[in-house]
Order: sequence, then structure tokens, then C-alpha cells
Amino acid sequence: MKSFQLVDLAWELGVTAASSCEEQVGQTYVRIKMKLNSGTSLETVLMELSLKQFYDLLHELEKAQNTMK
Amino acid sequence: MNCSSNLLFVTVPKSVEQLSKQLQSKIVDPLILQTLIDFSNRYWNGEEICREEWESLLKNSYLPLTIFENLFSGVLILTLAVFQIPEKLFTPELVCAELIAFGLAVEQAEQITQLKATSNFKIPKLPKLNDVKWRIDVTISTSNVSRILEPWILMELNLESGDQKTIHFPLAQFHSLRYQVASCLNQFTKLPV
Repeated sequence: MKSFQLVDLAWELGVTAASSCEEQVGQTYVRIKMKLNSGTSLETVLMELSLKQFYDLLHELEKAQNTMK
Repeated sequence: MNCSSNLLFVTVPKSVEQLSKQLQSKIVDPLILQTLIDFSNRYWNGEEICREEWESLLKNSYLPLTIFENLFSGVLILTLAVFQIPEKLFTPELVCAELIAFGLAVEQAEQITQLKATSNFKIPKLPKLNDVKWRIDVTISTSNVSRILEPWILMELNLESGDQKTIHFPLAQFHSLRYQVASCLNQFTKLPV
């Protein structure tokens, strides 16, 4: 498995004001942009999470942090 | 020799004119020509022609390399022109007649017209747009700036090829896109179609 080093992380919080798909209107999202160092080059990974997915991610990160302690 | 072609070419390319001259001078063996037609069909279908096949054909033709290459060039262009005829305009008899006018024998003309039916040749073209989805996002906050409230448009383009392209742009660029689309539509209405 290839491993990457996290170089930078940026996030953005927003809400969908209008959409061609009705169900998306009013949804909150968190967009995360990660800059990863593969060793030979820098790669950018962009992902969008719903609020639930973001809280799930936060939960996993906190679990990892507690385990490290 | 005057080859006026209606279905195949608007203007007959030089390579096809040269091919026609060579065919009418009878320096080309019919079997060699048949193999060249087969090679060109394989080429346009993306198949590789190995060096040994090519060299063996050249040896058997007893033709100088430059003449042989010019021959193949002409055959390639001729077969491509046949493959590019739209289905609704393709009449085998008319195409055969035009190919015979170029100096091909009846058998070779029929070989090319029959190849069109069995060929997998696909004219390269840009993928078509299947579906567009959009949404307007208002950014509340980012890691760099705490309070923005800036609207952005996110557009998802689903292409016929199965690819999905997502583009993200601010309001100013969206207005520019709208303007370009409107200009394009305006030109469409002016077309004499």
C-alpha cells in the first residue's frame, strides 16, 4: 500500500442555497482539501462530506487520538 | 484523367490522384492491392500491422519502396473516405462506381464497400453531454477566512463516455459562461440549416 504524508489541510464549511436536485437544498457540507506528499510529487485530494460524514470522521480521529495517548 | 468524386471527396487528395495514376498504369498486382486494402482496414480499426507482414508484401510487390508507400497512402485515404460516408448516404453501387472511376477493379471496389459494413471503424469524436446537475453553495467559513458568505456554483457534467466532470466557479465566471452560451445560441439561430 502506498503511503502519503499529509502536508497541508484546508477546509470549507458551506450550505447549498439552490440546486437542480431539490433534496440538496439547505444541506450543509464540509469540503476538505488535503495536500499529500507521495515522496515523488505533491497530490491534491478534494472531498466533500455531509455533516453526518464529517462527524463520523471527527469521531474516528478522536478515537485515534485517544488511542495514541 | 479526370476523377470527379461527389460522395468521397470534395477535392480529390493528391495521394488518391497518384494512386489512380498507378492503378491505370497497371503496375500494381491485384493481389498486392487487395492486401493493401486489408491492411488499411486493419489500420483504421486500430489493429497493428507487424513489420514482417509489411516487408513480405513489399518484397512480393516488386515495387520500389517510395511507390509502395505512396500506394498505401492513397489506399488509406480512399478507404477512410468510404468509412466516413454517413450510413444514410451510403449506396454501395454508387460508391463502387466512384472507386472504379479511380482505377480500382470491380472486385477491389466491392471489397472496400463490403468492409464498410463489417468494419468497427469509429470516427473519433468528442463525448456528448448526457446530463448536467448544478447547485449553488454559499461558503460560510474556511480554514483561512472565518466569515465569507460567498456564493459558488458547482456543476457536474455527465458525459456519454461515462466520465464525470465537476467544475466549481464563482458568480463572475458563471456570468461569463452564461454570456458565452447565449452568444453560441445566437450564432446557432443565424445558421442557414
